[in-house]
Amino acid sequence: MLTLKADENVHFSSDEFAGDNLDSLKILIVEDDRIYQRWMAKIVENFGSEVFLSSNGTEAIEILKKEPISIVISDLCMPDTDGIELTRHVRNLKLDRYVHIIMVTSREDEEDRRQALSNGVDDFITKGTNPSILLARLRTACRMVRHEEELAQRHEELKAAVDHIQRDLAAASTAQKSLLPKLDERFADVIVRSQFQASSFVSGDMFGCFAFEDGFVGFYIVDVAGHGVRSSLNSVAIGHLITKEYFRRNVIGGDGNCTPADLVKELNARFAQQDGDDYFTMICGVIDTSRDLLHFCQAGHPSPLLAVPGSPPIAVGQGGMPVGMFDFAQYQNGMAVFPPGSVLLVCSDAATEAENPEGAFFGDVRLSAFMSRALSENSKTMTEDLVEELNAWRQGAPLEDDLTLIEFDRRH
Amino acid sequence: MALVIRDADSPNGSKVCIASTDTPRLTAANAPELKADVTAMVGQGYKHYVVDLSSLSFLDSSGLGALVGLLQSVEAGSHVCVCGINGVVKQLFEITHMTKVFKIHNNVDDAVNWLQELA
Repeated sequence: MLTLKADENVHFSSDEFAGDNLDSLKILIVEDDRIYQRWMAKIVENFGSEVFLSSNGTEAIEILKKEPISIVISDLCMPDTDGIELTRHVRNLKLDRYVHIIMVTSREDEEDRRQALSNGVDDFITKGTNPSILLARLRTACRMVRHEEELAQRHEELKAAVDHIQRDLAAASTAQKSLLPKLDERFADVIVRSQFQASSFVSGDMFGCFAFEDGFVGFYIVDVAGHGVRSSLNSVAIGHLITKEYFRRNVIGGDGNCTPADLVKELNARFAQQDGDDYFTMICGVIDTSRDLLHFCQAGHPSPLLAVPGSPPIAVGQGGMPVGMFDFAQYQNGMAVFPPGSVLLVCSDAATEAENPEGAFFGDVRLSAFMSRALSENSKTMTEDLVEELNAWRQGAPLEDDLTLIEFDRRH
Repeated sequence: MALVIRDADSPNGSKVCIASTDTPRLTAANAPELKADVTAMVGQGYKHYVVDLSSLSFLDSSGLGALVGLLQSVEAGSHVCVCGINGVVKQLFEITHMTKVFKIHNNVDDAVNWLQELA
């Protein structure tokens, strides 16, 4: 074993390490050889670091738990807990800081070093090495510790910023949901029920339903492309725009003639831009209960399912271009018979695009089969049941898109 | 990189860009990447574009928006052909009438042949 006198002078110029700032660093020296321990301590103390001493691994762990040590210089071979075991313990402590570990070895044994590195040791010095080498290694360790501290500080700042944004988003989500009606009411002789589930903090779906005189029931569902704040702001803007009066002015003529495509054309003229990102799909329509007709216009929104008495559900509509994508887009009025006893189910694409863990989509066929079953059971909770059916299909996986379901029921 | 790009020459010397998706899903998660690829493609001297979506099993509204961005960026007289659409991707093209704004072909060869016949 190498022995050194405690008062052995080590000669180096402090200028050699000018600019190194070991001040305020807390360094733990773990060494069972008291003389070598004190020799290292003297070198380190000369540079202003606060030094803690330990002669074994068990005691070192206790010191590390209590003191904000940044650097450990530990002997590899010690009785009881050796340097590698000490390193393993340190890495398992899950401290709020990184501890840089320099291992002191008596020889340059490849296998020892490989094992030490794989257990989390950062650097090595050979016992009895020139003090200049020890200080050079400490200088490197110091740089890494400082860098780690800066990263930790930036991480804290970012975390605080993310927390702040998440609180704002949660507040925005609550505000937006308050704009979405939870429908379960009678409009003329149509009972309208809705379900909405957001995929993220804020969503891009918007919908509304209006009762007009003369037995007209109007509705619209909008699904803004994308997710998050941008989609949400657009959907809220659209929701504010489509008031009951705006809807009536654009859709229901003075002669009772219904032209929902005019509403879509009006919105397209307003929102069409050169950028393909900000667009939305929608479906809007009017149920004319006095003439038993459904008038609708489909703009990229999935086809609704219509079930008239005695017939299975069928998808109605031929599709149409989304709104805000092309200024030249043309929109068509569609019409279907909607007599008493009929049900119309309008779903956003999150219904058919729900995926199970194997990656299979819920799809049109299952949706249609679900509606047939619900009708045969005379279910009055079709939209709630569909939410459950889709949850079961996804087996608890979160929604990847906003889900809006609206049922228009004339079965009474 | 959401698109793998290669060139093809049509008989009259017009350069055709053939871009293939290399992912099964084109969604809000990778639409910005696709948009960047599309922006990089335009202005490279290509006359026409063939976008092969045969790798896709899912395309959402953001992905569709990025493809429409290509259509809106190309110069007048250029064609943007889309091929290899199946399943829900095809359904989305049909329900949104994108079949009326993109030239739809079964595969890249059909699209390139169609462009060659134009020339």
